[in-house]
Amino acid sequence: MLSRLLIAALALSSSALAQTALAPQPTPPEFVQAMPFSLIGKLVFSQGDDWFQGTGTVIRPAGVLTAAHNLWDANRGFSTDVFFQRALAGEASEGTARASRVYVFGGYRDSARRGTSSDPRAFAQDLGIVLFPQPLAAGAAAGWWANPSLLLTAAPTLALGYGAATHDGTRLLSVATQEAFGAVTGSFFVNGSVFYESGMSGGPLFARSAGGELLIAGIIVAGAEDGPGGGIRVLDAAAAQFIRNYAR
Amino acid sequence: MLTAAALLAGTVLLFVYGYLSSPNPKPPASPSAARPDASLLTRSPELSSADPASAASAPPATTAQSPLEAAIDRVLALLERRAATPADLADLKAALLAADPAQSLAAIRAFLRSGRDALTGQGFALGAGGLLTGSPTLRVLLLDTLGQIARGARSPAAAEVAREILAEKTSADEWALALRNLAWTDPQARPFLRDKVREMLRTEPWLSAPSAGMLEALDVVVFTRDATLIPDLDAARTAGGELAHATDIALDRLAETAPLDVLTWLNTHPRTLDDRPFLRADYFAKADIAQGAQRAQIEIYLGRPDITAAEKSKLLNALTTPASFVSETLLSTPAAPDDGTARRAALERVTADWLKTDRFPLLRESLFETRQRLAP
Repeated sequence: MLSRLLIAALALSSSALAQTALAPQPTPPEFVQAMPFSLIGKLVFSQGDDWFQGTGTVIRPAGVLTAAHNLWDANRGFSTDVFFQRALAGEASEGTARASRVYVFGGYRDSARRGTSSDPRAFAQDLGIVLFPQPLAAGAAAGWWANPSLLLTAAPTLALGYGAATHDGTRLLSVATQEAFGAVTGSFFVNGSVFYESGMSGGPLFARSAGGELLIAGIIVAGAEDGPGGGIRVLDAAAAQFIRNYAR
Repeated sequence: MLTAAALLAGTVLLFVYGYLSSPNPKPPASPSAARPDASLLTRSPELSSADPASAASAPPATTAQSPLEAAIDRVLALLERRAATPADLADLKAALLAADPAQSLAAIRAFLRSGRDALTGQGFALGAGGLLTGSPTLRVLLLDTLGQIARGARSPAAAEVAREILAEKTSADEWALALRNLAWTDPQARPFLRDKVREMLRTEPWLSAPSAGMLEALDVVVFTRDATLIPDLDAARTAGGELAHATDIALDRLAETAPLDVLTWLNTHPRTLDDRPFLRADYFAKADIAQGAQRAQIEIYLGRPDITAAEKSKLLNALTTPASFVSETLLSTPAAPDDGTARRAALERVTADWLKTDRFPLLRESLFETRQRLAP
C-alpha cells in the first residue's frame, strides 16, 4: 500500500512540476559568441552503430568537461569518434575538433549505470573529460568552482546545452533556475523549477561567484520534462581533483 | 557528412528518475552523544616514552587493558548505544595511528580476536591511496587502521590477521580490507590474493547481494594482473546489477594494467565476451601497439574470422581515442594522465605498415578511415 501511495504522490508531483518548470529556450547568436558561453559546444559521438549528441565545455585549453554517460555505455563501451563543435549556432561554429583521449570518472561502484537508469545514484558520478590534440579556444577556458553550497541558495543559476528533443540540436539553449537546488544523493542535485532537454547532457550549470564571475558549478546529467526537475552532477572536491589531474 | 550523420542519429537519452525511492542511509549518530574520555584517545606518557624495540615484544599475558584497548572499548560502547559521533571514530583512528605501532597493533588485534563489533552508521567509502573515508563497522575501521600502521611499521601483523579473516567467509567488507592489507604488507602474496578473490567471486551470498566492500574488492583482480581471473569475472557478471558493472570496470582496468596477458588470454579463449563484442573491442584497445608483443595480439584479433567487421571497426576507432576509467581504488594505480599523442603516433606507423603490406585486405577501408582520424 505504501508503495502505491508513493507512486501516486510521485505521479502527482511530476505532473505539477511539468506544468510549472521552465523549459530551456534558444539563445541568440551573439550570446553564443560571448564569453564564457562561447566555450560551450556540441559533442557528437558514436556508440556502437549509432550516433548521439550531448554538450561539453572547454574547462582547460585542450580539455572539455561533460557527462560520463556521453562517453561510455554499459553495452557498447566507450564512445568513439568524439567531436566537439565549439560555439555552434545553426550551421556556424568556431570549429570542429576530434578527441584524442577520454577519461570517465567512475569506479567499481560509481557510474551512469549504477543500479538502474532511474536510480539517482546513477548520476552521482556522471562526469567525464575529453582531451583534444590542440587548444580549442586559443588557450581560453571556462572558470569553475567546486563549491556545492553555491547551489543551495535561491540565487539563480544558468544551465546551457544543445537540446535536441524539441529543438534541432544546433542551437544553444538556456534556462535559469527560480529556486535553490536540493541534494538528492551524493553529488546529484535537482531543481524543480526547470527541466533540461535531451542533448543538453554534459552542459554547464553556471553560478555567480561573490565577485560576479560566472563559474561552472555543475554538469547537466538528468531532467526530462516528465521528471521531477533538472538534475545536475555538482562539482565537489572529488570532481575538482579529477579535473585537476586529467584535464589539460 | 559528420553533421548529417549526427542529425540522423538522435540524441542521448535523459532519464526519468525515481529518486524518492533513493537509498535509506542509516541515521546519523546523535550529535549530542557523550564523548569518550579524551585521555583514552591520546598517547599516554607511558606509551609515548616506550622504546620501539621493547614495544615490538608481545603484550603481557595478563588481563590488564591497555589505554588503547580501553579507547576501542569506549567507542564500541558508544556505538552500541548509538551515541558515537563521526568525530569519535576519527579520534580513535587518529589515536591508534599516533601511538606506538606495536601497542596499536596489539590493541587492534586483541579487539579483533574478541569477535565483538558494532555498526558505525557510515558507508564503505574509499579515499586516496586505498584508505577508507567511511567504515560500516568498527572492525572494518580497525582493519583499515591496522593496515596503515602495519604498512608503515613493516609489521607482519596485518598479513597475519588478513590470513585469519580470509580463512572464513564472515564479511565481504572485511575480506576487502584483508586483501588490501595483505597486498600492502606481503609482496609474495599475489597468488594467494588471486585465489582468494576468485573464491570471493564464487561465493553466492556475496554475489547475490554484493556489499560495497565486495565491489571494491574487485580491484584486487587488477592488482594481481592475472588474466586467468577473466572467466571468474565473466561468470560473476551474470549476477547482474551493480556486480555486472563492477566486473566490467575490473576487466577494463585489468586490460589496461596487463594488456598483453589479457589480449593473449582473450585470443586463446575466443568465445569469451562474444556476447559483448564492443566491450571486448575496448579491452583490445588498451594495447600499446608500439610494443611488438601487443601489436602481435592485435594482429591476431584483426585476423580472426569469428570477429565481426563492426567489432574490428570499433577497435580501430577506439585505438585512435584511448579511454580510461578513473576513481579512487583499493589497490591499483589509476591511469596516468596523458593526451594520447604517443599512442596515436604509434598507431599511425603501424596502420601505414599494414596498408603497405596489405596485411588485412578486408579491413582496407577501415584502416584508411583510421588514418584519416589520426590526421591533424
